[in-house]
Amino acid sequence: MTALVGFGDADSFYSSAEAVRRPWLAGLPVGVLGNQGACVIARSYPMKKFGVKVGEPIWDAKKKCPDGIYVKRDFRWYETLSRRMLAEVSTFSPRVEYYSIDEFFWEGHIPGDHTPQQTAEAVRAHIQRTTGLPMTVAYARTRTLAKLFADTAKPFGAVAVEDSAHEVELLANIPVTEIAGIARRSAIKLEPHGIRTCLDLRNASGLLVQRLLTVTGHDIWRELNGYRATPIRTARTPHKMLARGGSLAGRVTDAFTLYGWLVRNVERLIEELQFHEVRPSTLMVSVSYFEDNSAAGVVHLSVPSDRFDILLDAAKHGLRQAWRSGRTATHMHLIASGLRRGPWQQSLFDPPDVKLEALARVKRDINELYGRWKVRSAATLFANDWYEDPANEHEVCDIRGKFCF
Amino acid sequence: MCDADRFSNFKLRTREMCTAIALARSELPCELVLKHRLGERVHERAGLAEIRFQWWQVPTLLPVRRDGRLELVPWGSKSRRGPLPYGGWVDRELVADGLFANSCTEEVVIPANLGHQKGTWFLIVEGIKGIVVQSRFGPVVYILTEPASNYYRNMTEQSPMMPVFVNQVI
Repeated sequence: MTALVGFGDADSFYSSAEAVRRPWLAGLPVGVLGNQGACVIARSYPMKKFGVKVGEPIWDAKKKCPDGIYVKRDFRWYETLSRRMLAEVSTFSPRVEYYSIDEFFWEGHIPGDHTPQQTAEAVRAHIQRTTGLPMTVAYARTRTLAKLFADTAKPFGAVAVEDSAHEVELLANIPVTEIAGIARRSAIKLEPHGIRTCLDLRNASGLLVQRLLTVTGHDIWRELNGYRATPIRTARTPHKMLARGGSLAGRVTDAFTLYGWLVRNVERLIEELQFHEVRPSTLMVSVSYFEDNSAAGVVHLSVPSDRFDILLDAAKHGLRQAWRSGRTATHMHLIASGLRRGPWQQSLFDPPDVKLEALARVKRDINELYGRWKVRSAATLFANDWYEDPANEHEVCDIRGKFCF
Repeated sequence: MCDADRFSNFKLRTREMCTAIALARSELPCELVLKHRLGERVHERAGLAEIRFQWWQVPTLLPVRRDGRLELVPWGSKSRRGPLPYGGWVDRELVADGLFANSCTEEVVIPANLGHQKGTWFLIVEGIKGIVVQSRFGPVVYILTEPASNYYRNMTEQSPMMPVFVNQVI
């Protein structure tokens, strides 16, 4: 048995997921729209051919692809399929990492009577048969190599790269920016040293790479050379931060509406804190403005807490720092850090408040029993439209257990 | 009071919206296609044949499911002086307020796979709601509308109204 790393990436996942429940969409130019219905967040391969890009506004996309079909996103359905894929991949390996909603790494033990290439093809066929989703599967010596080689085989590819000569041949044609973790800024640092392709990076001195790209870059360099720097992680490592937020469903100029969004994000953040059984000691409120740079306010809590009144007070202070009067806000994020895990010790600054704790418990119980947001702060009433839409109950960040989006 | 006067008492929104729907060719029975000469309305979208029902087409028709049967019914009125409201769409609130109080009406489902507004083809899961009004010329169907959600407005260049979807929220 050869030990390789397996990697699977569902092709155009959101649009493929729509075609699973509506097979007549298969082969058509389909664009899945984001939370506001204004931007394309995923598109099928036939729509890609028209040059429609991820993040492109619908008014530009429909000029490029007038026959495109635009679909509202449904993360509850995408999660169902994502978990189904995870379960099916797990039939091939006991050690599977839920990397993102549509990507999985696994310890790719190759059965004695199969070649790695046959195994990759078998996984691909199995996923399509059991979930209806097209997936590109790659096997290689490390996760970084497997992910890079999968990209070269998309869509619906199956590839196994075992020997160094084959690796060299493929890496020579892949720009360094294709590596997850090497953004344009890192590429600019590499450029003067003649490092443009993944093969250039692999052949560079490890010392130089570490100097230019720190330890993270050095780990990538090791992986490119066939040494495993990151193991397969079968469980999500504990979060260092938890964040909730996003777009404000339009442009917000008045403080009351902004305050309503703040309250909504505090309630969403508390849900997440309570799920992970952590309490933050620092809260940051970040607001993005249409005509200005983003601004942020940071508040340190005297005692870590997940209580609504305490976090809302802190968030209000944060918003006051981040608020730019007369400016148009477009996005808001609440980021909780310095997460502490229980048991929590009471202190002089953290007196138990029986009434508030009972209220929080009732609120949580009702929402668990009757559905999310059945009981919520009245400050969020301004956005009834938003709450009445069941699609807004479940967002991509609500899909737990994966490492990234 | 004649019908035209009666309708003028209602603030009818005659702005065009959802100006076309599309239905997969396979969903329409052959006899219906032949009877209404729908062959010229067949379009290919990336290899898939669909029949488009567009507001500008003559005759202006919409498919309607009534009593378990699929039939084609004239869509709205393009005459401002006729006995029916002008346009192909009526606000469902106006219907509730008695727009067709003196007429025989029936709420129906307009089956569709896709709807079209301001250049955007959007997915329709089951269909959209319509109202069939009996006039002296026979039945006429209108698409029922309601104020657009923020999502729909963004999708369709700020259209203020949207069709009433069946078991679907956009």
